Amino acid sequence: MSFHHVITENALVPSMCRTTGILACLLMLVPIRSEQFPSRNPDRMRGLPPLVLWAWERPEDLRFINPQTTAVAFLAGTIRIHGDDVAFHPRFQSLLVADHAKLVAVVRIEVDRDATLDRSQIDQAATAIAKQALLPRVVAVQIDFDATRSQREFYRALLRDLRRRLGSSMPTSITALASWCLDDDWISSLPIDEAVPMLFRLGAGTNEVVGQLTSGRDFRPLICRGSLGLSTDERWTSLPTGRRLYVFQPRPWTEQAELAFLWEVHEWR
Amino acid sequence: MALRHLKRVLVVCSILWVLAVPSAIYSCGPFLESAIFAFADRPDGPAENFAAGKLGIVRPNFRHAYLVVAYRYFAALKLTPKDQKAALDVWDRNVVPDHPGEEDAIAGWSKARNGIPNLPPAPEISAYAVVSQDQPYFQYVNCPGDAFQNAIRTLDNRVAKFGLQSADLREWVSAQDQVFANCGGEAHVIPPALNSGDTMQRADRVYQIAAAHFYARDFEQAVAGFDAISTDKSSPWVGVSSYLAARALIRKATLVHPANEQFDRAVMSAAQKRLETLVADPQASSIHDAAIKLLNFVRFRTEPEKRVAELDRMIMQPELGKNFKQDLWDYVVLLSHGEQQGDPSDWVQTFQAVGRFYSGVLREQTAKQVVSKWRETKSLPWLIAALAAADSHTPNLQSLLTAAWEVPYSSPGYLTVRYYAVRLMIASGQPGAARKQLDSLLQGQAPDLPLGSRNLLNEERMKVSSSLEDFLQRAPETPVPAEVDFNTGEEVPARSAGDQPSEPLFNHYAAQFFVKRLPLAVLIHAAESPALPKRLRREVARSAWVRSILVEDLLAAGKLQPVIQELDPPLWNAMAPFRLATTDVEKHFAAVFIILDNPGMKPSVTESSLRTATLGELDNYRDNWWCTNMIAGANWGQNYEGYDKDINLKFVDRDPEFPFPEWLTATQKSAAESEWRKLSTIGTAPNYLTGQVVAYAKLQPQDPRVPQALHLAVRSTRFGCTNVETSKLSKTAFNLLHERYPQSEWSAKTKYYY
Repeated sequence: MSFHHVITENALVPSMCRTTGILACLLMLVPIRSEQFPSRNPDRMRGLPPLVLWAWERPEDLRFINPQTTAVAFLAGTIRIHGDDVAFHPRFQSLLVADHAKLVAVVRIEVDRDATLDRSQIDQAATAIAKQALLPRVVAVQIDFDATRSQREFYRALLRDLRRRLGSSMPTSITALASWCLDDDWISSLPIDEAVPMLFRLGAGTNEVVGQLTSGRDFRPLICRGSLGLSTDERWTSLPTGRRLYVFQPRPWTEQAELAFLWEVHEWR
Repeated sequence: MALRHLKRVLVVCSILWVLAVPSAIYSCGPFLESAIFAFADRPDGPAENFAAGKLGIVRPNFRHAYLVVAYRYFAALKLTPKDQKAALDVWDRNVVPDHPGEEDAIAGWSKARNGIPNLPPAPEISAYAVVSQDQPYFQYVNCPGDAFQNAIRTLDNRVAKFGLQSADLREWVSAQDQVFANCGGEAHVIPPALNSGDTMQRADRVYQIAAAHFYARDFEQAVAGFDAISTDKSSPWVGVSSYLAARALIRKATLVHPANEQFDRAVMSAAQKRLETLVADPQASSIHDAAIKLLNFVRFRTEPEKRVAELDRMIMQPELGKNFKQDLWDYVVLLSHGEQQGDPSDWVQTFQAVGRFYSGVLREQTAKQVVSKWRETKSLPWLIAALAAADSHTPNLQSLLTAAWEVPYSSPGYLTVRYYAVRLMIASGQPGAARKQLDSLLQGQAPDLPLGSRNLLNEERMKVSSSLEDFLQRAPETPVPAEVDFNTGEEVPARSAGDQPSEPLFNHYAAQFFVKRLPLAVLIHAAESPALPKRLRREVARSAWVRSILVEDLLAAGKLQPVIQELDPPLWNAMAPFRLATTDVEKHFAAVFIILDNPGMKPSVTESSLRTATLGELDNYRDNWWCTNMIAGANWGQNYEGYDKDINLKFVDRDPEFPFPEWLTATQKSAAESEWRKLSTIGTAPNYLTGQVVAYAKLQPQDPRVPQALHLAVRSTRFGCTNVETSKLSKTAFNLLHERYPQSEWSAKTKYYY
């Protein structure tokens, strides 16, 4: 072996960008995107940039983002299901985004213990979610619902109903507990285009997830292999590459926070 | 411009890098949950206890919301169960006003309205409207639940007056449909004026027109309409119309304002004047409660200083009033903006300042100010602040301590006072008396003592231990149950009652004490002592053995063999070459080999949580071997926090944070200092270990263990803490391995240097 072959991957990035420029970077992207963005229907997700910032229920000014590279998944509203009722609360905080920014409308679902989870509630919840798809610049809908085992059939039926309402052009994404993407795969058959494994606030599950990913194994369901859900306050040791990154920030986003995250991504080797 | 271009390039390259790199990516690891022995910014244990006055040890870093409640208890005032619930809601940031839910209210209205015969079905109503066309994603409650409840009550009343089948009733309902059609913010429907001989019917329509303008955001017309009603003594709406006019102005001020302002100050002030007039009017007493709430909302924005002064007075009242939840929330928000007026807010801000300034002039100034304030007021809150701020140089310290001892057991401030008084005793050289106090506190109040407070007192007790055994009995602490808050990433008290306390661990103080204050001779006794749980004895034994190698005390390394055999048989087996080696050089190399082969080995016990990987495994978060600073904590991310070449390892003999215990002999102190000085020259593990292996390889090239040792050395330069010198050493070991042992399996396994 020649010692000249030994270069650090850190050194590779700037030199690559310097010498071959952005065009080369773009050329690199072509084969990767076709192979590494698996989803139920890759065409539906293709319009979304590779970086998506989550804008949660707090005032957010995201006019600094570059719409070519970054999209915004904003909490559009929360559905609370209790007893026989379904209540939808829209976003009560400001959201400013760059012109031409692509948006993902996120709807969080919270279910009380006494919820009946009947057909009528599926209908009401699906109606409320589908309405969010009509908001300006929304190119996808994402559901954030930590469904328990007993709520899974409800969730499945809701997603089927939603798929029917949204038609073929509007992609559907869900956030997925890491366990759903590991050994507790019940989501492979869901009518969705993307499941985002949530790799933060894992608590006791951290070791299991880290062990799986650092040992080179990937998520079991293909639907989990197109994206990763990360938080700016938790850094990772070993993650599969070539996936859309959804990024959570515990405080309001700033341009510095986005750049800091990108630099951290850049540090990964 | 160039910077902007550079940013774009960085962004594009960074993203493409993520997409392009085909292999696994490595970083420094996620933030794992580490053990917490006492929360710094909030009480430990159930917040309900704190709300009920069981305060534990209140500290300056507590958030405003907790300190305000603590102040009230310190001032010998209490919270009723209702007030306690309000405080809990504020701590949970659950401050949505107690009005009915919009969905339920709309459903109730639709049901009542559909009960009227000969009308088309109720149109769909949305209570929410977008704030502006520029922000279509930002909505507000345009028609709150009480609007629909009021409509239901009016409907019932009009049914009784006009009759269920009457055209007049249908006329009223149709107009009300038009009013609510504006709620969603998209329609603009104003009911037509009504010529009717019936006074109430006319008055109702005038009111409906004003309300429709309000929901349709025609605020000027709404105000004019409500003002007109307020002069019509015959209208059933005369009592609320002035209030509604003020509401219309507030709505206008918050929705229509300059881009760089939160609200329109002039319009808000106009609303304030109207509300103040209303509150002062005894004729309007029926609307006073609602008007006061609205006035507080306004004054929070227009007169924050006056509002804080008012809240300062409120918190000192025996009765906290009906609006305590909102008042406490306002108070906390204003305090967080730095507002300070009366004694309560002065105390909260000053006590927090005590926590911010650990040393220096600001600390001295704060202490002087706080002690002076206590001498002036002689109040419990200021005694606590003074005890927390004072140090051994504070003039007339004894008077503070005397006042502390006079605080009775029944006082909510008892534990806090005792805690800070004991700290002062330790700082002023009274370890015996402090020990007695601490033993009394830890034994006497055991059942009621929150775990975090117990840990705080126990840490002080460690500082005044009377012997090694005494220290070891107290060194393990049980962490408080904690979980991570999803939204903030902060560690907070565990909410689920099922969470069991974890096993005892070393806190920061105990771990640092082992590292900086105990020499090998004492560490050997510690490893042998049954006062520690076995897994912590093993931690002490392993770290002491590594230390003995680093400071080249092979005698101590040998003495540790029996206890390692007892506590860690696999490691003891792996140490056979060390025991069998006949020369010091061979023993040292055998030891370095063992350390390289076991990335969990370091010369310090681990604080807060034990390493997640086993001793022989590489930790995924790079918690492998040690870094330059020899910290007792995990190494996570050390190599990403900048090169750690300049860490100050100076031995501080009289470090007030880690005083030498009384029971160490002068010889032992000297040995501890000498060992620490040697450790401070070692540097980060990969550099030290690789340097040792390269030196031995050059000295004993025929030793069959050398190729593997070189391989392990190169591996350590990848997975351990690195600095600017690491790569050079990595390359040296790599070259030596490949040049001298090209056929070795270890050369084949070593493809890169780092």
